[in-house]
Parts: sequence; structure tokens; C-alpha cells
Amino acid sequence: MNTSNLFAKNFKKYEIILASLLVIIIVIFLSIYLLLPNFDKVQQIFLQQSKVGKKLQELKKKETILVSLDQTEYKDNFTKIKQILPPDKDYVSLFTMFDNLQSVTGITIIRTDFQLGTISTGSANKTQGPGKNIYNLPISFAILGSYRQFQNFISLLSSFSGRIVSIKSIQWDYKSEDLINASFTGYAFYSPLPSSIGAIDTPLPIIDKNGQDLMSKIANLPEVKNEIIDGSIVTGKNDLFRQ
Amino acid sequence: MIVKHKINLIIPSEVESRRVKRLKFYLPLIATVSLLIFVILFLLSIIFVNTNITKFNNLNLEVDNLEKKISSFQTTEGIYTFISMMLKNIDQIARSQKNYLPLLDQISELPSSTIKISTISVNDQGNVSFSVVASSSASLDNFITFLMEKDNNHLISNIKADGIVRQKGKYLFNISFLADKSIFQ
Repeated sequence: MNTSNLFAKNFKKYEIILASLLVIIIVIFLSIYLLLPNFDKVQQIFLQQSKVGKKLQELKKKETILVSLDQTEYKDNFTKIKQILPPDKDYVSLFTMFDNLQSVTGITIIRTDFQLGTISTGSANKTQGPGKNIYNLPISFAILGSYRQFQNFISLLSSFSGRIVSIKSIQWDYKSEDLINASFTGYAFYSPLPSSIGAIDTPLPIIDKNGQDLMSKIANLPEVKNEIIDGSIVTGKNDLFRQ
Repeated sequence: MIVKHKINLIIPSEVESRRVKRLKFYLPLIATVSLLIFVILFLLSIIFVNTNITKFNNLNLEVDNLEKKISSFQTTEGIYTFISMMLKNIDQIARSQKNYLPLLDQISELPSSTIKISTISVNDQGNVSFSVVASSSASLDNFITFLMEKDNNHLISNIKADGIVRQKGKYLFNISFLADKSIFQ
């Protein structure tokens, strides 16, 4: 029997086994190169779908809140909140606040000293305040008035009648029976606003009950106008002999 | 005489081993089943991918539309976000603020008829100090007793008196104490 006959004979004998093995090998090969990538794709789609689904839910929630907000009301409140905690040192609002307190309480402010430091808020060395992104502005001032006026002044200073101020120390002495001279040291604060509001799918921050109460308290405050004296002061006559 | 020749036309059957027999039985079975499973899974995966890609594209489209809508509210979002941050900051500052009024009420109760308080200072730690001029030792004693009562009522603590100077019949001294949290927080 020659070789080819022997091969043919053996092939015929094991052809079922060989064919089966071939099929199994092809199935394994196809599974690796076709089925597994498809499974991977399926998994990716699953992941992406759940991600996009969550994003969609967040966006819907955000949209619902944004649609329900009264832009005019929030704009007004924003202006008032900025008067209490401005984004920069804003010394004008400090002077305005003291002027208002003076007229409301009847005390006389005899000295104010605001340690403004570098005026350019962005590049200045900032003194960290009681929280993240809150900066201190050291202030000191002295007043003259009755004890009742003095108490009233402190009460208004601690409320939101202007810039939020924290008193560090008070020292007073009696000029006469009902006239005291008080010196204060403390801090005014400012909080720079971030340059961006984050990605579009960033969830809106929630203003909790505390925040809501605070906002309605601030919303009911009258708006304080910062008046800067301009150049329109009457300076008198240029010609002395003119009527 | 004719010689008889025997020719065996039947091919002698080869005895297959048991292993080969088992292979011949199981391998075609495994091959068929695996092929079937492969085909089913492959078809299912293709159907799933095609169906979900459409769904995924629709979702993406919805997201895009919403994002466009939200972009139109950018100003409101900015104001809302900033307000939320600033309210948190104001709340933090307000919490760190000290209320001096209850302490001032307590100070105003000090017996001022027989003693003269020249300077009072308080700080945010609740430390209070006085410069006092008493007209007599009795009024000085009266003043100290008053403070001790406050101490007993846990309104103040850590009362300290610096050197008392007697000058022209008057008693000059400095006194300091720590205000309790119930009157200074």
C-alpha cells in the first residue's frame, strides 16, 4: 500500500473527528474575532446608555428648576446679597454702610480705618476668612454716642444692614454720664465670584432651608445705594464781582 | 486437478479503539452545539447592538436638545449658583459672628452709683476687662460681691483683679473676667 492510499484511508477513518475539530476551531476563532468584540460593544452601549440616561435625568431636573426660577427676583436678590458680601473689597459700600448706621442710630462716627491693602483684589495677598473663598478685610472705627445708641449700633452692625461685619473687640470709656467713646476692631468680608459656573450637566446647587430663610430675610431689606460724590459740587463763583 | 484458491472479498474490519469511538460520538455533537450557540449569540448581539444604537442616538439627541435649552438659561443659572454660594458664605460668617448684646446688658447692670468705670474692653473670646475707680472700700467690696454673684450664677468666670492702688482716698484697679457662653456666643 502506498503512502497516498494510507493517507486517504486514515483520512476517511478520522474524517468525522477532523471535521468536528475544524468546526470547533472555526467557532473559537469566530468567537474571538467577532463575538467577543460584539459583546464588548454591547457592554459599552449599556454603560454609555446608563451614563447618558443619568445625564438626561440630571439635565431634566436642572431644566425644571431653571424654568421655575423667577429671574427678576433672583437678580434683585443677587444685587442685595452683593451689598452684604461683595465680590471685591469695595470700600465705597463700607463708607455707605457707616453713613447709614450713623443716620439711623444717631451716633457719630469719629474715625474709620479700613486696611484695604492692595486694592486689586485679584493679585493681592488675601487673608482667609471663616470659610472657603471668604476673605477678611481688617477694619477699625470709633464712635461717639449714648449707651443706648451704642447698643443699637452694635445690633444693626450684626444684622444685614449693610456689609456683613464681624466685631473682634470693643473698647469704650465714658466721656460723661451718657456719652461713650467706643473703638471697634473687626473684619468686613468679601468673597470673589468664580469665573465660571461649571459644565452644563453640573447639577444646580441646592439652597437649603437655612439659605432660603436667609435669602428671604435679605430680600426684605431695602436696597442701599452706593453714592459716590462726583464732580458736581458747587464751588462758588469764578468772578468775585459778578452777582 | 483443479486447485481451489480462496479469495476473501470482505475487507477485514478494523477494530476501533474506545477512545476513537467516543471522539467520533462526542466531537460532532460538541461542534454542532458550539456552532449553534455561536450563531445564536452572534445574531442576538447584532440585534441588540442595532436596536440600542438607535435608542442611544435618540437619547443623545434628547441630551443635546436639553443642553441647548439649558444654555438659554445661562444667566439665571449663573445668578442662582452665585446666590447659593454667597448665601453659604454669609451663613458661615454669621455663624462666626459674636453677639455682644447680652454681654453688654450684663455690663450695664454693674453698680455704677458708687464706682466709676473708666474703660471697658471686650473681645471675641469673651474676655472682659475694666478699669475701675471706687470711692470707698465698701463700694469696692460691693462691686466684687456683685461680680462673685454673677460667677456663682455661672454667667462669668475666671475673675482676676490686678493690683489695687489707693490714691487720694480712692481705689483704682483693673478687673477682668471671662463671659460665659450663655451670655456671649
